[in-house]
Amino acid sequence: MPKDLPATIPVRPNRETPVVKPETVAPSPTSKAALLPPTSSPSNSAPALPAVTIQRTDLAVFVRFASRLASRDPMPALQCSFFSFDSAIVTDFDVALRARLPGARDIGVLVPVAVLKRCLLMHGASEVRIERAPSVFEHPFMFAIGDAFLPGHDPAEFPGVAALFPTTEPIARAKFATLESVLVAASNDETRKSFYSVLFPLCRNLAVATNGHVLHTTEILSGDEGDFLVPRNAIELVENIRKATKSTEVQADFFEPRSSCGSTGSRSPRVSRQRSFRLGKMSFPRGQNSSCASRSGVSSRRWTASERRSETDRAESVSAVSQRVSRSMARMRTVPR
Amino acid sequence: MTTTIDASGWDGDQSLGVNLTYLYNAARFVRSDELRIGITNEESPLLIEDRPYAAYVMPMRFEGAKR
Repeated sequence: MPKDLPATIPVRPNRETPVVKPETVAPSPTSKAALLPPTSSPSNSAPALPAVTIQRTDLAVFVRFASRLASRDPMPALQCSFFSFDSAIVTDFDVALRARLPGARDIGVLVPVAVLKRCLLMHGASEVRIERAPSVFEHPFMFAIGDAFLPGHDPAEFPGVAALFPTTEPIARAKFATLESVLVAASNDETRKSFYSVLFPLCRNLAVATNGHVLHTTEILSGDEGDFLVPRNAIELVENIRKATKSTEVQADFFEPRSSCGSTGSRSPRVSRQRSFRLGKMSFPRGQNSSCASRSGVSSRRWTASERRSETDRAESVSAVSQRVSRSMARMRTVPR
Repeated sequence: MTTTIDASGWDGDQSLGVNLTYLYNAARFVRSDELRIGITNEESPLLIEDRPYAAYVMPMRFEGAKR
């Protein structure tokens, strides 16, 4: 076999070759360059990418509740958190959560909440820095946490903040300590909206929930009027946050097409949360309604199956109309002590 | 397990059934030491009231119970 066969062997780079860094040599005082005025040379560096630095504890509290909303939504953009000025927002279109995060800014990318959760588990630093990363063709919305480069999503796919959180004046207000005692009576059946909700008949200063077999009421404080039906999942989120923040009071603001609640007495002074959710219009079963009117004179009959069905259908149709026409929503806000 | 409770206006032959989970959920939010259950008849809800909280639980009729 001839030993002089042609072959192309790539040249191994010499690793011992020193890296030559461009150095700036100061001209001698007597040279011509030293006598000339300094010229402004064009900079080749790219503009700085936006980044946020958030306290780890604040982000952990936000992610704890945001993951409950983001994890159950099939849309990728709604599995992400939207950062804006000193706040972060997640929503599943039914409930929206906004947490006040000092230092947060809009970085032009939606960050998946699951990624934030994993990063919180991995990194032990007291601060978390989230930085917008240069885009690549496959992933135009990249971001970096520490040394990890991760794909995000287009913030244009996220619903507008103004659509999630009302800025108008509330038409009614209420205060209550807890709705845990009422929540246990609400049904888990999401298809029956009137049973899957907590009713706030403010003229009677009550919060009411029922599943058709048991009805629980608790008194609330309100000087306004109006009947508001708030979905159970929103009240559950409020209760979870109230327990976690050890808040002693929840404040509720009801808007024309929306309602809002907030809790006071939080022991997490730096974190403030707002929840926004759709409301159904008042269409509670008549039997429960009459029992609300007189606490001692409860309706003395059961509802027939057809009666329940008609009430449920009416509730769903009204709720659907209100969502389609007026986008009925509610907002909850946690106010630090 | 049987627990005897004091009751007024109650005929000894009458019985009333209540879903245990509903009764437990209705009673566990009562803060008072004494639990008062208001019973009208077997077609009316039981009333458990302890302000600011109140619960109404629909009873069940036992099989073979006297009307």
